[in-house]
Amino acid sequence: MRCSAAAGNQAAASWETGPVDVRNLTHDLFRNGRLLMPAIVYAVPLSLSISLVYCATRYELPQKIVRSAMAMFARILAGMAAIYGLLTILSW
Amino acid sequence: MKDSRIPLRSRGTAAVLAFLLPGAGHLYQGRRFKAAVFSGCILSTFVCGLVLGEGQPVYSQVVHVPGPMRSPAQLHSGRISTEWSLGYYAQVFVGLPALPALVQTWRFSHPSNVPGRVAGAVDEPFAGNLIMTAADGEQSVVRVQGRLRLGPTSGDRTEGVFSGTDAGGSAVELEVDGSVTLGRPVFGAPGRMVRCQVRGNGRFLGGRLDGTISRRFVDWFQAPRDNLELDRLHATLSQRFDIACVFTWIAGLLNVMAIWDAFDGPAYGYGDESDEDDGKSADA
Repeated sequence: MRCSAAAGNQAAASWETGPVDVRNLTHDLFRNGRLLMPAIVYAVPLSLSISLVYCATRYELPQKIVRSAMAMFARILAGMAAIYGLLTILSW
Repeated sequence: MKDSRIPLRSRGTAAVLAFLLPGAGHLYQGRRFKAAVFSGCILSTFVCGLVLGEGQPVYSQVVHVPGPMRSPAQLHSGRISTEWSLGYYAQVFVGLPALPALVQTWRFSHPSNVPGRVAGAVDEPFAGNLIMTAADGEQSVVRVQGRLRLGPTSGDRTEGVFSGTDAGGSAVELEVDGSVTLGRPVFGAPGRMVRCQVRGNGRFLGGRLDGTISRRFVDWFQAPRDNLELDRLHATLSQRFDIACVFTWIAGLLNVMAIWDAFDGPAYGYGDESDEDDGKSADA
């Protein structure tokens, strides 16, 4: 058993969590040989969902809804890609 | 925008149905395509959020324990305060899938939901810290996991056994003898906190086990939680928890638009207007 009063205080504060694995707090693309999903990827289905619902509340005709939703989806992706690219260049 | 070609039927009923279940109001009105779009998009966004956040991004209240030291609300038997979660104001518009949080809030605030002693026998997997105190006051802390068996209880004393291993893989066998406190039955964490006294061995006079056993799904799902539990979620899920919350918030906000569509029809019109008209209305 390792003995430490400081560790005792830490344990009392951290309860059941145990030591936090700092690798969880990083943004690695791979971990343990597995491809991790970059956070930006989650924006794609979310944008599609938002586009479809938004356009469905604007029009009634299915063709019009789908067409305008696809256009909106493309605009959102292009906008995000532009901002992403700009931020990448700025943080180079 | 009302259009004679759109069968809104009873608009109030449709709006209520749309609130209770995304797409249900439109199905009631016979607008099947929209019902499919709304239910598919909104419910899948909400469920994706739940899955990403391991079932925990939806909760109506955050619990605070008064005082400068942050002690776990699960084990705090004194006065606690709660505040509404801002995110829930968006999530609640998903309707039925988010309404269990209100039931859990009521269950959480019930007078019977307090930390307590072991009522019956407990035989659960346990993970936590073993804190032992030696005669010279030195403390030893090791992380342990294994199985905790508790009971019977007589007065303030509960007997039991913990058998498991420490972080190094060494076997740990301890006799529980003394007071045992179990966390609140209803709380927004899958792990129910346990604090129990254990008998000393060797140079250690005695010590305690601080850790968690499992909590029933119906007792933690969408229930109020404290900042300690939110910290744990952020530590284990990192940004995934934030993304999960965003998914559930957006699902709720999208359904606000769907509810209004069920009540008042589409904002710009039927959709067969000329492009010129359409462009003007869209610009407006």
